[in-house]
Amino acid sequence: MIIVLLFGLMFLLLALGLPVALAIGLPAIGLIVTPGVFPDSVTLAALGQTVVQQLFSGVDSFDLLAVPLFMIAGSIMEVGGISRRLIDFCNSLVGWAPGGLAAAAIGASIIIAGISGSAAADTAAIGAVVIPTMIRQGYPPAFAAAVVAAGGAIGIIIPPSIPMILFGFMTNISTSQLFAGGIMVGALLGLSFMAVAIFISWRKGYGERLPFTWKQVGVTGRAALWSMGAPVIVLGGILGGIVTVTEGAALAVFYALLVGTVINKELKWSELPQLIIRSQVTAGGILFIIAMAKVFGWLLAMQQSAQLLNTFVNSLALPPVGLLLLVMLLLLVIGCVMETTAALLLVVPVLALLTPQMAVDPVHFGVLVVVNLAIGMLTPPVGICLFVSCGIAQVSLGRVSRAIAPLVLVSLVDLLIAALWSPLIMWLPTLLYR
Amino acid sequence: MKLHQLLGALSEGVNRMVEWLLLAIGVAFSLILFAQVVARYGGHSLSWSEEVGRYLLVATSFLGATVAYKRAEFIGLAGLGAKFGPAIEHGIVRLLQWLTLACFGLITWYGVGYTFNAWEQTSSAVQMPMSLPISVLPISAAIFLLHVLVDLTGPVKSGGAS
Repeated sequence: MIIVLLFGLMFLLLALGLPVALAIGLPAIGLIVTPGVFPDSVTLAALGQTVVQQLFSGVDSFDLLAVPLFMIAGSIMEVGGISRRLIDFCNSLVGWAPGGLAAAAIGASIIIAGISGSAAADTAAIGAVVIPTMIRQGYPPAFAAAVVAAGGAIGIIIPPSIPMILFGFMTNISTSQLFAGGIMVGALLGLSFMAVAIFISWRKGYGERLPFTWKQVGVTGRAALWSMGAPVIVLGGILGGIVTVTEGAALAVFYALLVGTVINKELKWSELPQLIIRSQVTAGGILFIIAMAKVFGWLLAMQQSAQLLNTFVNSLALPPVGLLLLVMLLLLVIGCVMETTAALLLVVPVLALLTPQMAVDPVHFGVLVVVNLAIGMLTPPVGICLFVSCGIAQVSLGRVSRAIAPLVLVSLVDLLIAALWSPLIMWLPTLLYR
Repeated sequence: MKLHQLLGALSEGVNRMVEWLLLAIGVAFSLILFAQVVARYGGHSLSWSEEVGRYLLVATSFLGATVAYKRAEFIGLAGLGAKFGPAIEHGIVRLLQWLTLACFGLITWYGVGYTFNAWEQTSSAVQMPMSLPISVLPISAAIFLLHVLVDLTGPVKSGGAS
């Protein structure tokens, strides 16, 4: 009864427009202090202080410190001239092909994903540089926006990834293993997006083609060398066990700062305070949901919700693969209508309990969840990458949604491959850590 | 209206202070963690850095959330209230504001009690009273109360989330 009331009130408050953090926290806190929910021997003061204790412990984590740090790194990178140099380099490599600049934008997104943990930051960093150039070269604005949004969504699959840090924190799974699991599936998505962009551009005659010269590759490569060094240092450090994820995030901040101010000389020191404040506020908004979710989760645990969920799932009598695909479908729907972080924080604590019934490794499941939510970033009505790229290209959401349909379709095929063929995700974590 | 203006000015002032505090916290944990990596490879690990970093994160979470609320940057869905006409939307917005006020009132009240109770406990590395990091909760909740009161005493604005 309490569980039904808890979820019912949460959905009602969400529908009425209360922010996610409060829609999660308010019913939980309200029910905890309601007389009769807990035995009379537990005093109201004790329950109230339990709420505060849960809120505090919800974010008292060294691993979560990586979240604001990667956000600060992403903000610095957005204005530090890193993206333009990466795009120039990728364009010198593939600009000779039809749709070369579109493919270059996706290639640059893959590299930039290796330093930033946020898809929105990646979309903004690449989009601000490449969308105006693509439009000048004759690409339709909607197509340019769609390609950049798709490339940006890879940002949360290729490590570092804020959603993976959150998933690891909530499920006690190694974030480094999740990071390793995201690399190959992220690369597969990137290559698929490139193939689709090149095919569409070739069929419809979009864009200009540049002559390929080794000289140009050398010139742009030298200019982008420092930018390309970032993923090597940050990811290499984390996956190689030299630094923890949180320390790697701190390195990312200082590396982005060094490249933006000293090497590229495009970031002014006077811009830095506002960039840090903006990142801290965004991080605060997300971390506050986690704190409230801790109170929500505590109340759920007190009501033996895991056993109830197990009983329900067993009554469905689905084979493990069927259950996995059903969960993927559910996540896709949730990803379409909810913001990524909110969706992750709301459903993961419940769905992660089902990994034994799905006969899937928790790392495999975690990466699949993040790929699902990345696809959700490309679909209306709530797709953050779509919103960012629509804003830069100045086109309507409807037009970009139509242009992005082939890219979403290919990403669904990739997701299915990743779900059914586990080595795509598990080969690297197994090689590095097991 | 005078009360609304007074609360509004106070809320703006507090919000500006919190923004600068967030800047200081962001710079502090970036520097501490960078120093930790350098120190560890220099053979002198900083025993206190992880603990201080964690408590700075707790401060970021709650203080950052107050600014996100003030800027209407909280993550949420567009409310259904607008579909039922201005009168019902007005009522829903006010109801949600009262509920939010009650929620932060509870956190402030019990947060103060919990902070005082934790005075005798000390953190493991720095040995500071646990009341210090915990006090961020009632302080942030009180700031939330102030921001919500500004909304409650002013005209109804549609939507509160982004």
